[in-house]
Amino acid sequence: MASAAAAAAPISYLSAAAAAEIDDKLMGNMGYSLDQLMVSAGVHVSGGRRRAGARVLNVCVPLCLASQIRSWPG
Amino acid sequence: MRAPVPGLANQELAGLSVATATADAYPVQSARKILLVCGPGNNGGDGLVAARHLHHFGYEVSVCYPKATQKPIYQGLVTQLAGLQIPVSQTLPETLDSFDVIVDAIFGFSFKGDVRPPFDTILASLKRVQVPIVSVDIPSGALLWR
Repeated sequence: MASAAAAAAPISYLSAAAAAEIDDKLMGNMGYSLDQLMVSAGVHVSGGRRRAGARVLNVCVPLCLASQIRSWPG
Repeated sequence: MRAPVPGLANQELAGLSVATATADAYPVQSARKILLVCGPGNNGGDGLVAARHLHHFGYEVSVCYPKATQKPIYQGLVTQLAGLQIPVSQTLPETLDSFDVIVDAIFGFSFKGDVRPPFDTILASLKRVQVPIVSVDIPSGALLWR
């Protein structure tokens, strides 16, 4: 049911430039380290997939998506 | 054997686990206001990481971090809290009863010796309070009072 709803919704992708910009911000004056971001990203990929199916795999780059994954329908 | 200082990867996993365990036990729908009291070592570092995740989970988070450790790992964790506008104070808030949950991230398993100020009075305050307390590792001071 959740995957049918996800399939119907349009999917947008983060561009390489936007992703790099987010990384720069996180690892710049926001004080995050690569270690931390990789752990968080990996945990959220596995958690998101368990909760909501494959669609979350497309969006789990920035750390701040933790809250969105938790409230993701499905 | 001295416990090694964990890398950021371990600290991140530990803190995330504290946050999810706390959120499972005290869901945000019924417990919005949360205070994390963080000690000077690894236990406190877990608390600093948990604070950030609990903020993302929707809690109204406050942090008490009286003895900030001057190491890059911990300074980074504090910077991350500042970036999310999570208040970090050096003293315990006077209105402890206004919180729905308190996370005790002061001392862990490997703590030994005397509880020095300001943590002696902080532990005394936490013992008195009626708010539910979630402890990282073990209740801080438990090994001393046993």
